[in-house]
Amino acid sequence: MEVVEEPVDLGQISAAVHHGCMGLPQELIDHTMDMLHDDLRALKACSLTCKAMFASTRHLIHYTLRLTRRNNQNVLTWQERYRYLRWDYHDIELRFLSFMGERGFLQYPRHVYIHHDCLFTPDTLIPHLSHFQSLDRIHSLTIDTYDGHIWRNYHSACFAHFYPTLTSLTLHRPISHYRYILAFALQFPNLQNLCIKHLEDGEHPPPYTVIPPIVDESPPLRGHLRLVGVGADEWPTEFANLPNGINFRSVEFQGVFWEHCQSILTACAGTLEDLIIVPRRQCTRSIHCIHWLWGDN
Amino acid sequence: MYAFHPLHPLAMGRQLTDLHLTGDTQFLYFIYGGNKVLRRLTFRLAFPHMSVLPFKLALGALSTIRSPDFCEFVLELGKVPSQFIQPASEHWGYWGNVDRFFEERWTKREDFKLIIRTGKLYDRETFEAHARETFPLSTRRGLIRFETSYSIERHWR
Repeated sequence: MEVVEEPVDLGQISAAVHHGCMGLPQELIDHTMDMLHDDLRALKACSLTCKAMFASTRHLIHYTLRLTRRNNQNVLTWQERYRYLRWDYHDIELRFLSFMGERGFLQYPRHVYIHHDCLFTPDTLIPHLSHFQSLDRIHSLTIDTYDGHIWRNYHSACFAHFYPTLTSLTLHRPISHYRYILAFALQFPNLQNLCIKHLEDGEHPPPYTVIPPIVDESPPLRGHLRLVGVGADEWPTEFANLPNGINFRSVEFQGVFWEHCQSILTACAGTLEDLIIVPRRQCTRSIHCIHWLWGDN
Repeated sequence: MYAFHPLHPLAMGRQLTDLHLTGDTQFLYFIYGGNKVLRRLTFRLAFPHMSVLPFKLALGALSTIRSPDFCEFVLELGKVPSQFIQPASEHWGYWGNVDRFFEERWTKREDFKLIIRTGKLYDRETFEAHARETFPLSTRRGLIRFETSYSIERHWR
């Protein structure tokens, strides 16, 4: 006798109202699953136990959309993998995005994480732009190795759908001039929390290139600022003197030079309630500073 | 010219040239009196590095705080060893100076707290005993609070 497997509509299970499992009310199951929110393996195991747990874990499992090369490789067809070998992969670099969109998973993420090993350029995103634009509930965006120069003309075209909801932005090892980086961050009108890690001076722009000043049309940032290993010299001063100002309540400095951050602390003097310091281990410039204060020079 | 607290490292004069200076000192000056609303100052440190310099760094930063609302000093310590063979002073260095500074500046406030936050500890009893030995004045006034946060070790990973 031939057994015919009927496909299970997981969306229907997820959308249905459940009344708990094993005698536990649904509220208790939801609360338990919330406590496991950062343990993906446990969430996946729970989601296989019953319909009630499946429903309460689904949005947590898909909370973060990870656009990484590893995830992308997992969904490629053999033909697409051969294209990788021929270095012809620009339109399939973010194939995972379309893969998730075609299966209706893009309604769940609240956080998008774009990893540095994934080539994130307009060329790679535009073939999948319709799926990217369906991410309309994103609160938090993390991009590794964001290239501000390449993206400078695509802000509203590619990120406008994040404007209503995005409140947190993390840029890890962004490259290019700091004005491009800040222009990208300040395009989000509801941004509250900003984290910039390891911003270096980057390549100098070509001669005679005029980099426009930062335009700040949004309300002052008033959440949490985290600066990690920021080496560029002048940008904290320009950041602190934005036309609309900055009103962060919480600031974390990790491995940054105090003289660069003084302007930020001054700008936030009326609002800063919480300061977190993670000292550098080695820094020769501060020794020079101490010597200067003591008059050793 | 800067006006330093008597315990401020720069007020101690050139004797500091004998000590090892690293980048930590960069923070000594930047929390000046301009901020009037600061409530909490957190130092996130690796416990093995709590030698003489972080204490001076903390003291320097604390001495510049003028906010009347300031009521929490948090030490977030990562990489805490599983056992403590050496005496407390070997691990904590001169952090007792910070304790005296608290006594002088803030302990009249009833809501002032010294929070020592760590990840999971194997020998919590000894760790807390060493901390109390290092901060005897704060201990006597009941200002120390020990907290556990599992995200701390993630930071140092």
